[in-house]
Amino acid sequence: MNSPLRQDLFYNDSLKDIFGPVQILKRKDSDLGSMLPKIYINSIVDCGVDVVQFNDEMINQWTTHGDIGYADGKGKIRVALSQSANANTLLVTERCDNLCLFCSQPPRNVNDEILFAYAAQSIIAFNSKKVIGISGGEPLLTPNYIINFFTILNQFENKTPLHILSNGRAFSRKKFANDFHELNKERFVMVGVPLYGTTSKVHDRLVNSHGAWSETIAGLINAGNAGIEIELRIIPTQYNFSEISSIIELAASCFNHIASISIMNLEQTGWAKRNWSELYVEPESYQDELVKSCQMSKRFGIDISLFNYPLCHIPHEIHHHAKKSISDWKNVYTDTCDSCILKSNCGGFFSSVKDKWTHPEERIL
Amino acid sequence: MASYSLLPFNFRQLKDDSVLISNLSNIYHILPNQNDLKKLINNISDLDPESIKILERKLFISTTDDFEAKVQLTTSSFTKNIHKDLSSPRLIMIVPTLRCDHHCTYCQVSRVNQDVDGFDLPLSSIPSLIDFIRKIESPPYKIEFQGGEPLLAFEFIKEFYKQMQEAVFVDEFSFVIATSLSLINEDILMWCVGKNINFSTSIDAGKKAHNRHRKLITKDSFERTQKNIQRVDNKLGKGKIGTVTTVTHDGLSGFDELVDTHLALGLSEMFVRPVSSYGFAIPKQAKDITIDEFMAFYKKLIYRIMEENKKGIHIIEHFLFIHFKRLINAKDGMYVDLMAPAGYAKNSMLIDYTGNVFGSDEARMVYRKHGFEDLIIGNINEKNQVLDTTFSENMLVNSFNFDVPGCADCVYQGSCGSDPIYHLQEFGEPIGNKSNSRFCQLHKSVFDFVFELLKDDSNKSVMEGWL
Amino acid sequence: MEGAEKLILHYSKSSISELALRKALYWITDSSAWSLNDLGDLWEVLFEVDDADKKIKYKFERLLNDYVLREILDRHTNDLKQAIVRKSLKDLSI
Repeated sequence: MNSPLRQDLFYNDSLKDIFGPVQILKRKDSDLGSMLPKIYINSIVDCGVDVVQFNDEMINQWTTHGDIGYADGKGKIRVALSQSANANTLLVTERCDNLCLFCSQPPRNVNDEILFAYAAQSIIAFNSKKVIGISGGEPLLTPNYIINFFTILNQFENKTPLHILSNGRAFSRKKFANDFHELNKERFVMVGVPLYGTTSKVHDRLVNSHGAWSETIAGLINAGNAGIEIELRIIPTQYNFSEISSIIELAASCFNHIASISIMNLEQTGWAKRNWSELYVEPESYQDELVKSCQMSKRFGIDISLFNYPLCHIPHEIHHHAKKSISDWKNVYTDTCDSCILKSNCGGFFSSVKDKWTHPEERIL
Repeated sequence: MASYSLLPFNFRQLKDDSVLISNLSNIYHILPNQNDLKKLINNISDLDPESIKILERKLFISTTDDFEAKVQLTTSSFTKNIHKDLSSPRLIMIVPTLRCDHHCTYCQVSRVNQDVDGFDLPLSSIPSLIDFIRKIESPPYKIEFQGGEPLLAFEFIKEFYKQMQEAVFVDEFSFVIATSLSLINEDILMWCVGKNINFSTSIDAGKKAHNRHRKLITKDSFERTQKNIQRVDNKLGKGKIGTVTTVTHDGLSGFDELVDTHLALGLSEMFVRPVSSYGFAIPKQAKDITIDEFMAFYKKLIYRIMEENKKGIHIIEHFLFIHFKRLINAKDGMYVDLMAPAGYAKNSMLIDYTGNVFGSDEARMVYRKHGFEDLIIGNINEKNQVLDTTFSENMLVNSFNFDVPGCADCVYQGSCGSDPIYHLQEFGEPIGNKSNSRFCQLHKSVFDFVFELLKDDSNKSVMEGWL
Repeated sequence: MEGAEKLILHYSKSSISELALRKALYWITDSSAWSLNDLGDLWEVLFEVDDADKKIKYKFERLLNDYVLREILDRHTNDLKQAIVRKSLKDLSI
């Protein structure tokens, strides 16, 4: 397969003693505050004494002035927030109270509170008007951390819109849901919450946690009532592919503030790899259910989008629901795709797919 | 072996022995027969596994583990449904004049002749009118001009638009003008170009019915309406005219012609209802057709419309459509006649030619005939207007239909309305005796008919295509 | 009355409650005059019908069956229904 479209990991000796978030600059810039230490890449002029300044063609090519990188202290730097990325996401914790069979970021029980601090600093320094994603683990696992996080952002009057991935269980406590909404009155926040079934039997099995479904349901009710915008996420698997439309009907009838619904094709990363044969179901097997689900969009007046479904694997009548969405650092296409007229509209395949499971169909020429 | 509990539901036996059930989330399901109903009530585990799965998904039954969450889900959806009707933005109706150039035998507004004085809203009242509207409602403002014949007060409408545009953004309000179109002329059409203005006109079943009922001086009302519709289409484009058809005894055989007329005129939005008992229509015509007679006509009409749609011709009948939308909790399921709770002045507001404010179109008709002062909730000409809402609150309290005899056990409770004003007029109190309420019989019949249609997938596709 | 008959039906009090009878009769009011009489162990329902209208027995007994079923259903779910409605109205008044 061809390589992914954007590179984000680099090495340079000059970074050997730098640790944590830094702001990448190409020139001196007095407009940027002093939230984060700065490194100067490929600057024409001398940026001062005692500053970290060096030339590096790779880093220069793939970054923009103002981007944020996390340095590991050993010379490596990963670009965490970039203006040239089509999606920016920050990891705020690796801890989680679910253990989803297809978890793409398997949890680790570590004390990583520092990640929240890094995230807050990075967002403030980056100061973007474009959405930044917040993910984990479970970002809302410890209510105090997230409340603190928002409080700091508010102190610096940062208004960057945020999209937070969460299992929603924290919202089962009404007070937390209300506090969450209060803290974000000046900021656009959407929370992406997965719901995998209309009963605990299916959902709890998939997230491998007893009681998860009930808490998520209570959470979705409270969050919606508090006024929090919700993106409902559904991942079809062998266990739940026949009830996707039922989940949508339930959500649309019972929850408030469902801003959109995302049906997401399983990605072969993390734990999904080892559970693949138990979980994965080909879109062709449930295409009627997919069509039925997409039709609910007009009925309930809610956007319904299909993610990670190459166009050649879903019926033509729902192509307009498919979003070209995969973060550009994961996009790849096969050689067969080159002859497909729909290629520019299609999200392609995941780089993680590694030549298995693609079966691209011959498209209309 | 899992043990299941029941969540509250209502049921109704349909004509073909299947049983329709609905719950407090207003989700519907059809059981194949009475036996399944008995199993559901007496011992859920006796049902087949596939039925159990579906009933779980649709919130009719629950395992012990899921029970608390499912009760929360039911409560949440029940609240959501009531809130939908409770908080929907009002339709604002304005009657700029009671004068009219027609003499319809079943006029519901007790119109007056065009040359009479003293039945118009003065232009000077427009600023108070706009202030009033902005005080009681938030954008988008849905404004409908009724009459009489609103086009006789075209100067008023023009001035109102002008001042409205100065007060709010132009995309924050829309007009509908209810008119016979007989007075449409170049000036009016020119003025409408590019503005968010639609027309609503009546086309009755059959030319003779149309002419007989709407006695215009020149006796050729139907032909003139046809011509004027074409003029509007040519000048303003298609889709600007919605029609309303009121069915009386004379029109009962005219269902095919009604559809043909709409198709020939390029009209795609129909709304068909039986004659009702307000204004001039009683005592003769209201009892003039029974609901059974109307339904016989209506079903044939709808089957014809389904046929046309299946041939690829897009034509919607909105009375059926709104019943369908309410049964599926669709987004645009708001219909002034089918609201519960239905507070007076909660869903619509009407300002008539005297400046008096009423809570509904029917109320001003009832007032003109019977003079109930309670129906007036204010007057726009009075400064520092405080709306008298006591009548409205009384009505509201009596208009929840889940606790009311006749409605409490009804399978359509979550989709239907209570129409307290209708029952007030018929029975002297807002609840009425549903066993001989035309309102009840009509809507139940139409809801039943929707399910009858849905048995056929091709009809289902047509109705879903209308969404 | 010319041609009018009385249709008389009896129901054991142990199997049918007064409330179920009255609810079923609510819907018959439009088609026929009726009266309900207490005969100790039995209920007596009396309809005034035309010769041809034996349909009323069928219609009435279907309604009655439904209301008897509803009574069983209510025993299972009425408390829950009231609790849901109360909670809902409470939430709405916020």
